[in-house]
Amino acid sequence: MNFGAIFGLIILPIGIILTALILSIILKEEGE
Amino acid sequence: MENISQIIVHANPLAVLSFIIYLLIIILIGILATKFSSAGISEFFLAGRKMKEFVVALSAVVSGRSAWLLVGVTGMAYLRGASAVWAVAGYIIVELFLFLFLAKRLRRYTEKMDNLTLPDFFESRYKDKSNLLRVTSVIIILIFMVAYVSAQFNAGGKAFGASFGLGEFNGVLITALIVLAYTMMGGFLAVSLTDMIQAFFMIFALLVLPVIAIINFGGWGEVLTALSKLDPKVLGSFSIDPFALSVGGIIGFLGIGLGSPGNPHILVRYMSIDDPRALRKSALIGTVWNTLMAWGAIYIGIVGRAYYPTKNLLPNSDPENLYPYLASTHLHPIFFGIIIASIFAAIMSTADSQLLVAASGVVRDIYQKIIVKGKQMSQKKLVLMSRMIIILLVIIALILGAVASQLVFWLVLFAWAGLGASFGPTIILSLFWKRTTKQGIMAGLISGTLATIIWNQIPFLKAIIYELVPAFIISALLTIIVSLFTTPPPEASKELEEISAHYKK
Repeated sequence: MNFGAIFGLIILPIGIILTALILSIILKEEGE
Repeated sequence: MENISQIIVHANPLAVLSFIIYLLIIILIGILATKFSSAGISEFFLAGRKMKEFVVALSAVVSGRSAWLLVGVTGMAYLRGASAVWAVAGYIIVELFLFLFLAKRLRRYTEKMDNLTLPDFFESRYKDKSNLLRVTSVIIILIFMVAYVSAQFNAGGKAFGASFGLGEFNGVLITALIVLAYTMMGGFLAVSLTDMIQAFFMIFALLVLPVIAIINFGGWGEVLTALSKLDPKVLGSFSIDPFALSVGGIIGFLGIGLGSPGNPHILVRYMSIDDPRALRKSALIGTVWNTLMAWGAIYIGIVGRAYYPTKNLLPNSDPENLYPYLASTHLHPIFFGIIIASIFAAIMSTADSQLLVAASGVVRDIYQKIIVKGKQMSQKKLVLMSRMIIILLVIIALILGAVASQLVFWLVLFAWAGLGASFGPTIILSLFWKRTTKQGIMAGLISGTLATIIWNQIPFLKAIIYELVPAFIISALLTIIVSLFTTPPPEASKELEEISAHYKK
């Protein structure tokens, strides 16, 4: 697989999930 | 999805049994939710804003994913390969941000103002006593939602008829009756809980099938080797590299995501959560679900191409038949039944949400807020009326479906774009820009709808880019320009600061 394929099939989905994980942690509100 | 009968009618009775068990679970949920949903119109259309983050996450995600994900995206990945990732990445990223930012504000504002529907929201936000915003938004919702529901019934009918050899007409009727039964009885609660169950069927099917198909092929390396050995003429536009797609193609595919903030059947899920702070958990759950389902579909398309390098190896030479066909040849009958159930799960989880939104437009927005405005109505009577309206809407959707039966996929994309372009920019600006005015919203709603229709109808424009992208931009620009030349409601600034301050707490 070239970089494009690795990006599209592996990095992109993992990256989206990690972004969701990080944002859901750092956007924690007071009182939670 | 025409005539996949040769795949399925030979299915083992175990496959039929697992499918029937699935349907019974769905109907049972409808029955169990009936008592709760009968308490009042808020319970019927919004589950009394008592939904938990997990249910909201899954319900919002699968309400937005029709059979397009299962048969459309797998077919697209079969034809184009990894380029299909752009078609799913757009909506997944947009929905992540909707959960994290838009959903909280929408939930807080609509609870504060006791809004049950998006037309309710517009009227409160702009203090519109003329009913202009309410009527305009309800008309747009009703046109697109009813067309959308009829498209879902048609898709379900084709799959149902083919799966059990019942014929397409009977398939449409059965799909409609099942959706009607649990939606009418159990309202929003039944729709959300069944969505959750359907989400499990969908993710299971979309993860198990590619894994087993790849293992049976000899592993991912073997799949890639087989694909690399194929004649480029046979592969056509297929590529394992997503950047093989043109920039315009990538933008157009990503643009599909612009539909999510404007589709009312997705937005009302956010309004139903009990604690808006929990929406960040929904964001994570929803994104994981969305991503796994989408990439499952893409891997199915790619491994499918390795198994069947040319379309004529698929039933009716149709790439949209890949999903059930691959399942029929690789899975145990019980799992194959789950695959078939997952197609119906995708269809029904979308149709039920759309049906309920359309019914709320008639009962809440037209009847309660315009026709009998100011009069006290019994909650029981309103719920009864809502149930009658759902029956009526199903009949209308069935008639429409019979007239426009060839246009299923077209209708789905068209409705998605029309709603996305009209409601998307107007909802976002209403929640985040205090300068937005009623006249601006009217301009955005009308221009977004018209631009979608016009762009879609002109082949030259449609060939350049998917109509949602330009229509969304036109709607946003007109909302902003018209708002700048008109006066916003005086309370807007304070109201938005309040929900914003609450948000920062």
